[in-house]
Amino acid sequence: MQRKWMAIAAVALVVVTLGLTLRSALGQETGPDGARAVLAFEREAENERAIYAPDQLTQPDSPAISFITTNTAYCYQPDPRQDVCYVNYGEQYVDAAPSYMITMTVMLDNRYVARYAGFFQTSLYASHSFHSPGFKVACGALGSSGVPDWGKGYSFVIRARDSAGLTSANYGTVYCPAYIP
Amino acid sequence: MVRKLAAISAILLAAALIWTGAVGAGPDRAAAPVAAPTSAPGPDSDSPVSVAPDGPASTSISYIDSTVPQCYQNVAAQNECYINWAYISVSTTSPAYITAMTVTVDSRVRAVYQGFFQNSLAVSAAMHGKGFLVPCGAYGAAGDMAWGGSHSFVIQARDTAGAPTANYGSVTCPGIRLIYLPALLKG
Repeated sequence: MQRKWMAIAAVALVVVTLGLTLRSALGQETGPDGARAVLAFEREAENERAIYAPDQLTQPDSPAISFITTNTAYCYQPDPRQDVCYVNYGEQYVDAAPSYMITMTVMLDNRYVARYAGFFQTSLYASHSFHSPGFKVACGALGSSGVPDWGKGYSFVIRARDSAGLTSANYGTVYCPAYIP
Repeated sequence: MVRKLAAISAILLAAALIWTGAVGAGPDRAAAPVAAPTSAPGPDSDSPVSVAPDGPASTSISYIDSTVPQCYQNVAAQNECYINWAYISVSTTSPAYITAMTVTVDSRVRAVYQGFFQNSLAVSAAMHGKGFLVPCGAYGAAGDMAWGGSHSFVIQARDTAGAPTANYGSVTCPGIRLIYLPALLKG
């Protein structure tokens, strides 16, 4: 009886081992966004950007969707007497020709703050003026982000998805001026 | 036989786990925050001054172009003025990227701009709504009876090569007539 159970366990181990090696050989890696294939990835200091493919065996040799161009994430304090800051982006742009852009979303500290939808568009562009004066946040106390001269830091994630199911994502942090009463 | 099979399976599993750990690791997203550009005392002058980056071979970053520093009073007779710039831009040469740029008014940081894989960073007036609120000040507060108070500014930028650059200057605002009411005692 014991030998039977050991045999079953041994076979199970072999199956699991083969499954794991096969998954690695096919390039199915876990990126920051979970279990999807990472087609392209770049990192610079705290900033990261990635392009993902749907979790399937056949993946495009060259993804149609581009990296999202996120120019100048910024935070400013209009009135120094108030603990009120605004986060915004100079502009955002992503292209997926010949696929259509479906959506682009903006998250600040794991909360969605904007969603842009494509309408038979192969590219999607968003300017700071679309949400002037920006997304309202607390400035935070001096040094609250760990950087001595600044206030709070807010992590952002910008994701875009095209009609082929490909996803492009940008990850970063934007720091605010401190509120000094 | 069964024991041999179990031992071989355990070795294969360990090898597979090591292999997947070596190639399947997600990107390490823990990173130290970018240090703020260090503050430096500016020259005592009303005229704008651009300071060249310091240090040997640290010339990848350009001067900061900060055009038309302005101060305006949105509503007459209110002690609320707004400072802004037509645009501010800075660039660096590849492979360096712009890390961050800050705007400081009267020794307070009022805006922080992060570069995102950018060799250049440009900011327009429209990106700050009305601008940065400052008190207008009474007529003559800056020494000119036709105008109000003066506010110093420092714009600093840094790239990934560590080269800093900074602009120092001041803007003078429209003045207001401040009326001080006498203290009245009840009695």
